[in-house]
Amino acid sequence: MRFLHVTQRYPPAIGGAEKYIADLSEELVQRGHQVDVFTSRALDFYTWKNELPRLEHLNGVNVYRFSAMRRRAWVWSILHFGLRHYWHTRSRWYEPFIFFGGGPLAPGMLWATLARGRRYDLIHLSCLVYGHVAYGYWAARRLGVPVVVTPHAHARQQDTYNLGYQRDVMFGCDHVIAVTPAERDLFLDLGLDPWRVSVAGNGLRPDDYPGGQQATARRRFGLPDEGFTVLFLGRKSDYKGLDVALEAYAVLQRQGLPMSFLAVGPETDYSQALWPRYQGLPGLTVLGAVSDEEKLAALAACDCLVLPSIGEAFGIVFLEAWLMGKPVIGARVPAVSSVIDDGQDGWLAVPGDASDLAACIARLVADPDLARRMGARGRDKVLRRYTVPRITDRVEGIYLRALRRRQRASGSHDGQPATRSLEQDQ
Amino acid sequence: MKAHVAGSTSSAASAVCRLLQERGDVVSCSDQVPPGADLYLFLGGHKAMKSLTHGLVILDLRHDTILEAAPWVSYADLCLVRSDQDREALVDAHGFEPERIFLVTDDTLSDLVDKAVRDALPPAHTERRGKAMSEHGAAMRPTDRPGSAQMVSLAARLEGIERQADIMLRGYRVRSRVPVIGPLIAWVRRNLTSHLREPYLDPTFERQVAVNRELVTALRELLDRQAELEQRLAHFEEEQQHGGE
Repeated sequence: MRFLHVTQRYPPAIGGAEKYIADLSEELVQRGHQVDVFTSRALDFYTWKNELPRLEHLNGVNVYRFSAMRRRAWVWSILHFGLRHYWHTRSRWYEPFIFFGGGPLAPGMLWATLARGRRYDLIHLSCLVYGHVAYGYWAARRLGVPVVVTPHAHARQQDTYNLGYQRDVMFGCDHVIAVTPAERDLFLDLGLDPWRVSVAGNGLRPDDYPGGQQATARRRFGLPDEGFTVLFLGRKSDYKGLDVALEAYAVLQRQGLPMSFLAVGPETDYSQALWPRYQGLPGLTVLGAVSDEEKLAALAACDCLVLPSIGEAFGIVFLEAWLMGKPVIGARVPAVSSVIDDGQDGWLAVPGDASDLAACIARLVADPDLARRMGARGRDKVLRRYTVPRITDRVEGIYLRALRRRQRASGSHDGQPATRSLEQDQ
Repeated sequence: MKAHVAGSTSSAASAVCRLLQERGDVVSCSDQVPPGADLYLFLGGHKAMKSLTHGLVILDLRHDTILEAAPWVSYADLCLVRSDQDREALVDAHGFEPERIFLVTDDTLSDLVDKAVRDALPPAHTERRGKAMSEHGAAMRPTDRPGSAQMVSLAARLEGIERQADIMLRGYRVRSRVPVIGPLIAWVRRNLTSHLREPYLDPTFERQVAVNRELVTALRELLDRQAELEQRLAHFEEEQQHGGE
């Protein structure tokens, strides 16, 4: 079959939603489907600067990139104006400001979707917070092509799913794909039909996580060979809970437990302001942005991953830790609770509570066998549910269900083959 | 209605074929999946499920004792199981939506098929899984303490209240069924009320929704605290008992 994926950015642009759509597209191509991607030429969403080539063939996927209007300071101002007034008044008059300020505004992408959309069996829109979903949806509806959307909604950020036009898109699409059961609940609470909302999840390729010698990895970061190492891995933004993790570590240090703490991830103004408070804390190692290879080494070096973030949409880093056989500790917020089975493959700590987090870490320090068992269970779970092929199975199934529902609604399949293959399409 | 039963030539397949024939359906039964059927019923995983773009696809796992074919649920419109345990396994271990997994017997299958082909089937057992497992998951695990049953019941009530916290009619759209000028009528009706709704009613109700949610959060925190205290008390009593012995 032929699928069109419409997304705001595509690798080499970095991001969870970008990786999701790239993994999905490549896996579908491997299964014999034809996948084209319409996206912007931008590497970053702050500016939508047109940097990437207009056409690329990446691992069998045809990636068409369209120039978008640059997001300069005045465009950001328009976005903030729209958001400020929208949430006060809920008036749809402010939605065009948000749409315009959010971008990417790529008229070429709209035109190409309108001109070529009928060639595809289904159009898949990704990342509802950006404007391409609105005009991609409008074009798909105009052409009568089945359309599904993966919103990547953040429960704590209503502007990622709860603006008027975003709700219109979700209510109008043939199917909505959530990444966690918690996100699905959010959509059902909005009033979406349970038959049209499914959970697919995020996936990894286990071969990309070969494991590694813990001792070698520890030497690389100057960590002691003995003792328990806690890893914090992620952008050091305020909502990620770095302060809570450090506070918990300080509590355990005061109890005299032989431990070290490795904090890895891009620095932010918030984290820079945090470090002076924890200067001189024994066993603390801090690294900024690292390569994939260094990230794997950090995961190999640690005994557990701690990410008490209250703003995760999924938390793919938990899957990465599990694939390396490590237990994880997250915050008890809906999205993370959908991923971690408390007491089975990790712990859920009370959000913002350093003493509860310290208690969770202490349990793992006291019982290394439990830590190993949790890591092993987590790995089994990833292999069972969160690999790229498994996620693609789910999305492929959703595509077929959406197509069948359309066919049942139209009530006609005379002369239609039982199945469709790429050869038939060609 | 044209129905095809595929995936097995066992006695189970014959029984399903008979059942559908008794309903008056034109039924074929083989591993070769023919075109043009309205209903495809698979008694196990089948590669044709990965490419069927028409009809209704049902995966019958009632005879799959170890749920070997569970990954194929992704490709089915709905799935039949024989017990609550199987249903829970598909939801918890494999992460499938509970709404399309049906517990049926041969007696109820016919009614289910009727509704399903018309897309008139109500979802089976709608649940809010993410929230149910989330913020108060650990604290709400049942224990054998006398108060735990009440705690679980309170938690369930709280979930009910939380579902009702959002009092806005989010899906409501002003519509008119009058042909041709219907959109104009809807537009006029929308704009006649928008001066009240947008600056006054909607913000007021949104504030009420926020208050409702805050209350639920506060109650949940209290409940968590209560559960924690109960656990501590249980631990304390246990220690006392051991000390006494």
